Amino acid sequence: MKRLGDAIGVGVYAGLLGLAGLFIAIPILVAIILSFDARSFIGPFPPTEFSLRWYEEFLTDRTYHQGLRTSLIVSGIATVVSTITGTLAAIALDRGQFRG
Amino acid sequence: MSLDRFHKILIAPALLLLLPLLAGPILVLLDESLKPFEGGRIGGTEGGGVTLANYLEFWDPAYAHYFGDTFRLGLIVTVAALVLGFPIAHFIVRVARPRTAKIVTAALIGTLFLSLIVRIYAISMTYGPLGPLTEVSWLFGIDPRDRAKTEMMVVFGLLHTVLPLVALTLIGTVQQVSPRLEEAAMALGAPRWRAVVSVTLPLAMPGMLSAGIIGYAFCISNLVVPLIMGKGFVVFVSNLIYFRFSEVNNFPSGAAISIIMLVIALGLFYGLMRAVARIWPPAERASR
Repeated sequence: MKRLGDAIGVGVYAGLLGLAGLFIAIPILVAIILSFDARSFIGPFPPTEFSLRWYEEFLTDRTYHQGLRTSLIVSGIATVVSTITGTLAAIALDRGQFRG
Repeated sequence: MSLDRFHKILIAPALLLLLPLLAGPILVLLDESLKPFEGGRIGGTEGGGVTLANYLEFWDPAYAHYFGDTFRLGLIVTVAALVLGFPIAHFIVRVARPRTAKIVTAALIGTLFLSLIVRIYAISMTYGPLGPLTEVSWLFGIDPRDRAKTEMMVVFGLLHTVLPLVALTLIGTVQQVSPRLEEAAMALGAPRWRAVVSVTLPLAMPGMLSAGIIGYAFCISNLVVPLIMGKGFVVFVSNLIYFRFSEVNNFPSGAAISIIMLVIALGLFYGLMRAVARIWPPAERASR
């Protein structure tokens, strides 16, 4: 009886773990595979031909570079500012003595 | 409550940033929500006095389903994230070898770096009409042509972010439960599953609730997932706010829903915190 319970328990545990892993991983893998799709429309999976055309487009089109630069600059500033102020506030909240 | 001078200086920059970025806009929102609105104008009427009409509008039952969808789907996502997230956290802390634990943790953190928009389209491509897993909806008894399929897509879209978030939060929770208690239960004859279910799980309950609160807050405040996955069939309160501001320029109405959501969310989280403190008093928790 004890053994059967443990077997079921291990089965449920492994099942939930597998389900969680697949749920997170599968969409990412599908997106990666479709990024090599040679077709110029969203067709059924799996792709019939593969190519690097979308990567080439991203690397050669300057519009994308402009967007990438803006993203990096804005997030860089936000990261630096929030890390500094957040760290200072965390030190104050943890080490400071609250009176009253 | 007062800090000494040195620590006041340390906390000042954060407060100086939060004041104009958080407190200010909320006050402006509150002010806007009390202005009367004339159709065709942009924003509320200046000098038109104070009115509660923008709030009273939402007592109409026609609005109930926006709030219903938001809170219901958010709850489904949160429960699913806790059910799937607890085994991940338990696996990382108790079962996996240090190396495997590190890899799994790094993978979870790695997915958090993926932008929401990337996840949404990845999930659409996987479970959408042309995706390889489009038939999965039948497992839940959902016909792909139904509105329920759209709800499922929204749930999947949110869960893909909330699951790693909850799993990572639960790592700390499981670590705090002493492994000796599980071993003691087994030494006294309990099978392993019984030790986990009736010793570790109840002791992890306060942590599960706070992880749930984090996940739930993410869900009910989300705009992008219901906007793209919901396709207008599933409309969250955030989308309603967005429509009011951007499409009909009814700022007072949008502001009023924002304030209503803020009050509901704060009330909900305050209530949950109180419940946690009552069921598991801090002193008792510390002695465990």
